[in-house]
Amino acid sequence: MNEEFIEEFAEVFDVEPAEMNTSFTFDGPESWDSLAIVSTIALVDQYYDVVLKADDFIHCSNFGELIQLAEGKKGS
Amino acid sequence: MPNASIISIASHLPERKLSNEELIEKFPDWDVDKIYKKTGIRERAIVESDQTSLDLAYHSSIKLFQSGVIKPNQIDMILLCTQSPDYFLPSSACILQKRLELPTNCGALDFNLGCSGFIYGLALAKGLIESQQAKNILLITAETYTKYLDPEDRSVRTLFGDGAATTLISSSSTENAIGTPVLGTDGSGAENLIVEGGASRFPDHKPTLKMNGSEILNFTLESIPLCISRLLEQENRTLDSFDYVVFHQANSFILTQLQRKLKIPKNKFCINMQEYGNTVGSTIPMALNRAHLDGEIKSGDEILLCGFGVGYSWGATIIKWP
Repeated sequence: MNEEFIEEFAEVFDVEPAEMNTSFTFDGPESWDSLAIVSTIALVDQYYDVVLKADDFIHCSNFGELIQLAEGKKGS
Repeated sequence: MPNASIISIASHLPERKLSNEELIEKFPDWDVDKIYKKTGIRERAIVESDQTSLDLAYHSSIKLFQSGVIKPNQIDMILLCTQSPDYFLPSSACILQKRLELPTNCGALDFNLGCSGFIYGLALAKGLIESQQAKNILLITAETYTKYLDPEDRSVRTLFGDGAATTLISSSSTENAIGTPVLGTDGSGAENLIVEGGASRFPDHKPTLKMNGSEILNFTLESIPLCISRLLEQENRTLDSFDYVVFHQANSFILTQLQRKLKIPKNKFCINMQEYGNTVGSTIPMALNRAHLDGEIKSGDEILLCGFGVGYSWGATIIKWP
């Protein structure tokens, strides 16, 4: 996984990069504020070249699921 | 066949400013730097309750005449782009004809578009001039979106500001001074940026702007690179062949994503809305004027323009700076 992506994604959630691993847990759709949503769309587009819909990823339970979603869409 | 050329641009902003410092008093869990870092905006100009888009349009047009570039009696067409008109009817453009004391043989019409409006206005002006229906056109973009904003909706209050720009487009011997535009529409996104209340569908509802920011970002990232590709293919050009690139100045976040995605050199890509925010249809002419004042563009430069937003509606074209 791209380290810069992890670093920038950690910044979105205001945590240290070391904490942002595949088991980093999201606390449900309500935990995503509008800034986190648009930042995630932009970062996934930048590093995976796919445009995810907010409804697709705000239900991910952890960072690993979000990565799978991005990789799956890229491969489709 | 005559060609259409941009001759001059004037703009007008309301006096009252809304700073990031004022916004964090209202929304204390944000900070000044965070708002600026994400939006690229330090302050927005906001109309008073008794000021309208027509007033802003009047002032920007008077500034154009005061510059001496043309006289009012030479104008034979007003194209006024607004989504915040004074009345349902008549058109603001008709009232403006009288306020500016323009001749009665001047055509005048409003058209209802938002952030793509300047590009569509260039397309209309080009058609009217090339078909010899007009010689000197005032293309006016004027909005007071802040009247539609919910005071509690911080995501839109940080972005939008009011303002107007008047662009003089005249018949010219210069070749291709306004290129053939590429236009696009996708009404499936209508509900993602909308003011529903106050018009015929919901006459009893208060007019309030609703924006789904993530859907707008999705639309922008998917549609605008394709729009630019269509233009480059049509013109058989590459992006690096342009002297400067001005996109609709929505906010620095979206612009940075587009600049990166399209691999546009940073020194040729305009990001400048920090003193007035997203003024909708006026962001492109205001940014062009600022870029000229700052020495970023000079006479003869070829500039790629692209507007996009509410509708969804988008368009891109090439101009030669006068």
